[in-house]
Amino acid sequence: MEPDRIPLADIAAALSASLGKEKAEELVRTYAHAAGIVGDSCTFDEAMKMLESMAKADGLLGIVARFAKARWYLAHARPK
Amino acid sequence: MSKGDAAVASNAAIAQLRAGLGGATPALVVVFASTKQPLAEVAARFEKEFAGAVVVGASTAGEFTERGDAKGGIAAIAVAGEFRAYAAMGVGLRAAPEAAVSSALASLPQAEASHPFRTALLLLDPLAGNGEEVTLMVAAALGEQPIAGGAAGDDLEMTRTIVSCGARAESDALVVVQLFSKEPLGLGVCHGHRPLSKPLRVSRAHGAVVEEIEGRPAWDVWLEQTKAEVAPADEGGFLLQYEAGLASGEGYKIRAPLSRSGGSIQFACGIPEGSVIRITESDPPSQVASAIEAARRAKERLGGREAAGAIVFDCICRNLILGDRFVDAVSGIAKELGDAPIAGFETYGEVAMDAGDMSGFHNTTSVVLAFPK
Repeated sequence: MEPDRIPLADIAAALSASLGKEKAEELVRTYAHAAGIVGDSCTFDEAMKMLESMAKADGLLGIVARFAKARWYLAHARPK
Repeated sequence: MSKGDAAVASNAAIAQLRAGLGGATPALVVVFASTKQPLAEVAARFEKEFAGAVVVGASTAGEFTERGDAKGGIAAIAVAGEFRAYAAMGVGLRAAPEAAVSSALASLPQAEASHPFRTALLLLDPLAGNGEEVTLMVAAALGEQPIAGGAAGDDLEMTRTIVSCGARAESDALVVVQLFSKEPLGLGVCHGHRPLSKPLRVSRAHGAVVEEIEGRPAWDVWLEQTKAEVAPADEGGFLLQYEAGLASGEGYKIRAPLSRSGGSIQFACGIPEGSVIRITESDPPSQVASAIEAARRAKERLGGREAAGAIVFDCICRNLILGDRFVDAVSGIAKELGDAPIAGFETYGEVAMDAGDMSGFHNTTSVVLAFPK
């Protein structure tokens, strides 16, 4: 895996604290597929777009995704 | 800790706090009151007595201090020393949680130059059914800082839980305290539950209500997996002993079922359809050990300083499991903190979120917030 790529498992792990491991992994698979992400990792921008899509969902999922996106951005964003 | 009618119990608790303060002026007073002690009346008395301090509170399912635990009473703690405290309330939590959170946080300062460490205290109404959601909203708005707190109780009536800020007491509300200090506070969290059932998929749910598990009524699955027969009057206690666990990292995040309606079960926060849960259980020794472990972790975070005291948010399930031995958990927490004074209540949910955490609402958990000397 290229050094700047983010494992999809890491995104699922960030969501699992609120949603549980199985639901988080299922959601990441679904949204990654919809975003055309192939393989088990993605770029930072792809991760942000995926979390943005999840963030539009109602209820707990949307809130968890918005929170995860904010924390991930702070943790992983690199100056361009 | 005091019992009697609200006036008698409040006056006794106030007198004990005054004696402990030794003339010092507190920055923060936190009061936990049974439904037998109407929080609106108790909060007004404390607010009047401690004018100038931030006074907040919650209704409970039990109250305790280092001297023991009680039902039907009041427990309170006053925080004095190098602290600055600010608090605000938001209402309408069930219908518009984001607006309620924004309203509560709007008036709170984000920084105090002279007191560089900040810790938030969050008290909320769990019957609004969005404890995790509200905790994440507060955390997102406050940024990276520790948050501790608890979900109010109502002595297992499951009808109305209340939080207070100043003299105002409301249900369907949250209260946020922003506490600034010159040294970091110690936050410790631990639970003692383990899976009882195989993984079970939530097949129908909306919001915090789980209707079906594996295609069957959720209540039927709960009874089947726990092999229990439960009288209607005991359903609340039963559900709080056998909570749901979500696999998360190396452990399980516990979610509290609060009540049932027909075959559906109402939780303290959202459970998305498709979630996989395990019904969990715990034995008495694990409950005592995990409470003490939470205190040890809190003390460790004080970085070698002694604990001056602690606020403890402890799930009501611990009392249900331990019965008369609950006092062992309480005294174990105080002993681990060097016999420092503590005050806490038995909650319907606990809040513990440190910088970098991705989730902060817990159940079946002990949360210890220790203050340094």
